[in-house]
Amino acid sequence: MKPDALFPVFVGGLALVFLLLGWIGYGYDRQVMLFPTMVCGLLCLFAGAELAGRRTRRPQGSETGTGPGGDLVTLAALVPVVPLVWLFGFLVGLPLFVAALVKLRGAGWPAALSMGLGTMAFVHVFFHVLLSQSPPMGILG
Amino acid sequence: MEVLSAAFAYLTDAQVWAVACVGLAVGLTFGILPGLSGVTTLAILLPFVYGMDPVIGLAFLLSAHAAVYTGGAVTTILLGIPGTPANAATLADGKALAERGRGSYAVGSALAASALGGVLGAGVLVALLPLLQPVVLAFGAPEIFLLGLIGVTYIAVLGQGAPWKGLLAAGLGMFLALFGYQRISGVPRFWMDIDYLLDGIRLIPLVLGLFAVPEILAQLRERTLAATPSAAPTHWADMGRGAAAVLNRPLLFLRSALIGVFVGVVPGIGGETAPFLAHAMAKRRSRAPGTAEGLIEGVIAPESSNNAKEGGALVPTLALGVPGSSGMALLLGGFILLGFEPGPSFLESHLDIAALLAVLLAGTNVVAAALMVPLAVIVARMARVEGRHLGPALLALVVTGAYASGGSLIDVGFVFAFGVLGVIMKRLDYSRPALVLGFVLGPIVETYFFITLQAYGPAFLARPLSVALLLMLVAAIVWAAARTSAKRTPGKPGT
Repeated sequence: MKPDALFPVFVGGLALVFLLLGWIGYGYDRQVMLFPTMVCGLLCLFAGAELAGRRTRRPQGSETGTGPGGDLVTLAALVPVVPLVWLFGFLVGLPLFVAALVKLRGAGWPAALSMGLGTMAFVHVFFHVLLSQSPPMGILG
Repeated sequence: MEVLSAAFAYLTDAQVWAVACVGLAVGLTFGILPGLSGVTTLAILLPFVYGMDPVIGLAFLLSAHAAVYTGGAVTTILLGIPGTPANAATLADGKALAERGRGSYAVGSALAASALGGVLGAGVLVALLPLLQPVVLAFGAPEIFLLGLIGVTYIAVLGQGAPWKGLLAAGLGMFLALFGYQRISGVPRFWMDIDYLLDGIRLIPLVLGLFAVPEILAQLRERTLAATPSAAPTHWADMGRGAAAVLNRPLLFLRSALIGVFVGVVPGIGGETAPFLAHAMAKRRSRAPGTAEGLIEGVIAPESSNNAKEGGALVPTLALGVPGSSGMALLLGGFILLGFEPGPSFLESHLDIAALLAVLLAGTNVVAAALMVPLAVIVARMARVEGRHLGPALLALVVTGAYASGGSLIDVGFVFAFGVLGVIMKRLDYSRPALVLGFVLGPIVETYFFITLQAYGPAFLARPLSVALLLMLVAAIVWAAARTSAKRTPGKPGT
């Protein structure tokens, strides 16, 4: 199945799962589930219409191109910022990640270090000056 | 007049001005940086208004959003890099003029057209608001419920993409808004024993993930910008002549700005359409032969309509809670964050703030254009910043903003989770503004749906105003279906 067909299937399936979860799993009453039932029902309808429409639609630019795989790999490379900030806090962890990212994208050390220092200055100004509070610390300090 | 004087009372507040100036500087900077549209700008700035005084927060968001297009015009002309997608309509003529050594002339025209277009758009907004207030006062719960549905449907089906995709995106937004405490009963819904979900999915991580994360990835992918010509030196006299060219073509300016206002007022069409329409109209009426490039009309028309459309787009946004453009869909998110309920009730109780926004919109456009005159060449150099530097800088902003809005790293985690959704939706051409609008309006639609059923029962459908709104809703869906069907007809070129 192509990625552009998977998305409506996933959304429609998700709506159905939560619909069943609400009525059967949680046992919510009618007042709580009336609107979700309408929304989920419409979602399934729209997903079905989109899937049916794909059969007759002429291929468009975005649908003939590559899937989102490459972007998702790059996105996965950004996720380590969360544990880094959790470990070292915003004042150290975030500049460290930004500097590393700039370096890994092919820039030189001067650019990477200045981006890191710039981030550190931004974090300091944002938390200390604008919010009048200390930047969040990490579990290692 | 009372409303205007109340709005001017806000304008005596130095804090409003200070914040508007910061917003303006930020908006200009984002406008100059290639690829960052007005929508992305609003998405990145939303977390930073959290906890602000509501008026100050709205002033900040609106001034930043209004200035984005002015900044983008300069890089479009001097470097051939459209700062925002809407500036692309200026590219052919603006760049051709710059290549002939008339860059300053074109920049002067673009800035004057932007400023005057913005003022005209804001003027239309100020003129329409008092007229619309009595109309929206006639709206009851059924009409507010139907208006919410119309808002979501219009932005979903009238945009550029396929209507079913738009509706699916809007429905997904409404689905995501179902999590957490239900407004009517107070019952927590679908929280799966995760305390974070008791208050529902947060708007800021959602918006940052959908709009900012795909932009960061796009910036990181572009290792360097394509080689661009050097910006032409500034000639003050040429800039003045460019500004005068706008004043010497009052009909062209008025026609283009009014196209912008009209396109802005019609919900869902999308702001990017206006400058292209105005440009096409100007070229068609030009006396120059064929498709000649380098005409000053081709700069004045798109730039005046570009800034005028924001005033037009604010009309349905403020009066009805139905956004006139995708940027306005995010601005509605800002309304929620700042404690306002978008829709007719806003105009009923905050007409003074609506008037202040109109005055600010006009002021921001003029100041932004004035600032760009001496800074044009300097800021044009900023557009040469490489994606590998810009991407990480944006990431730092996003992570800090997401954390600051909720004080929790879980919010940052959700940014990346919604980033996956944003990447997929962007790649598969699903409307992300429709999703945000469904998310923002979902709880309002649900609340007024219940009030309507309890107060009127199904008989609400017999109210004349409700019938009119229902017809508008059906007309939008039928029109979209007809358009899709026409696109599929063999032999007809896709529109």
